[in-house]
Amino acid sequence: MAVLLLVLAATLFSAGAAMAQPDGHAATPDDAHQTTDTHGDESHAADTHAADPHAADTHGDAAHGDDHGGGHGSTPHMANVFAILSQWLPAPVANFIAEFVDPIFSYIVIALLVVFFLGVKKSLSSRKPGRAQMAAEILVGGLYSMFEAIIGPSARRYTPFLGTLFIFIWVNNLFGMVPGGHAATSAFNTTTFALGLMTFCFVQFYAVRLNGIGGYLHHMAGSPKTGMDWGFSILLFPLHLLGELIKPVSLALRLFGNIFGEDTLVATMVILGWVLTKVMVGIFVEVDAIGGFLPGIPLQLPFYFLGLLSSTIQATVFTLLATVYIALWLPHDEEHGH
Amino acid sequence: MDGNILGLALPIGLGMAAIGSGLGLGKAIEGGMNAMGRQPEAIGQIQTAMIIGCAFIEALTIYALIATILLMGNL
Repeated sequence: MAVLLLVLAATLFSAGAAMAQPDGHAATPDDAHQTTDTHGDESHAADTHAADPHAADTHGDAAHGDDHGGGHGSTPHMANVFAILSQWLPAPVANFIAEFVDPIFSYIVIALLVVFFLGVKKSLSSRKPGRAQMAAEILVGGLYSMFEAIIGPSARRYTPFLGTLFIFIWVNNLFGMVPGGHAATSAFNTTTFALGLMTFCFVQFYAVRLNGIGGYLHHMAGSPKTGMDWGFSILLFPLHLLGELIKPVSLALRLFGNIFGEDTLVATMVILGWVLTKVMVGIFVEVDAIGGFLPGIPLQLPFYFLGLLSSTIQATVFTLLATVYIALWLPHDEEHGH
Repeated sequence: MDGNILGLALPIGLGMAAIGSGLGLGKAIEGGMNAMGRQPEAIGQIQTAMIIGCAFIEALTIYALIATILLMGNL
């Protein structure tokens, strides 16, 4: 009951919190790469400065008052705590935070997970397991059985990476649902591409290690056995190579698209709810008289359920596909027959 | 007609992707429902496999959405 009220309060207050960051930096991979490009820095600085005076006059509320409707042609998304705090921070810090918001939230997630799992490890006991330990066991055991069904008995070796992938992606996606949080996986340039790259390196490393260089090249050429197969291998080799390269990109794009779309959907619903409230209240009362701050109708509430489902499913799909890619490279005598 | 042709092309493209995805998802879920009807004791596994299959099909529409979002600035 208390949880329900909390969720309701959170959604009502976050109704005012949709702040359109005008450059939509999460959206465009052809946008400046975040770390090294100075042109990207300048456009960021100009945008955040332009955003600030507008933000200052529409609200007095410290927590979530500012809302800009959509910027010109940019995708709206919800403000995170650092973006709100950076109104009172000096400009270089604010720019740094706005640029590195994805790694910052990734580190927050990592810190959270490390603290949780280290805490579980410290208080491990087989006689009287606490609730945290049981939850961790369910999680790890469930993931391991999922990998074992695909890879076979040697799944133990790959479970640490794949399991961590699942938990990391899942918690990151869920952070996007929390008001004031931001999903690091909703940015292609940073988190999702990095995850795809890591999966690629992981799969290729184990492919070479398990099959040897010769076996790796043999597999890439389509495993030719007869003379005609060798003829085809010239055709198949670039095809397989392209396939190997495109798989992690598709993984990253799928995750990015889903999570970014979910965030944008929620933010658009928030704006819609606010506009609706403003129109409805404006019939009776001059809106500016109440200081311009109104909690809006939480139209985004149904989409939170969709977001919870989608976060879990996307984490599962990413991990499952990574597992399948590893399973495809396993030496054939190790496959469990059907 | 003094607008950008993207204003016509992007929604049409996205709509077509949505049609394709709708048809594909319909077939996938039809297969899933049939399987669940034949073997009610395997409903859990079928459900899991169905959801995962739907995520793959959905991904193609998401690619179209990403392309639209990328081009939206040029409208």
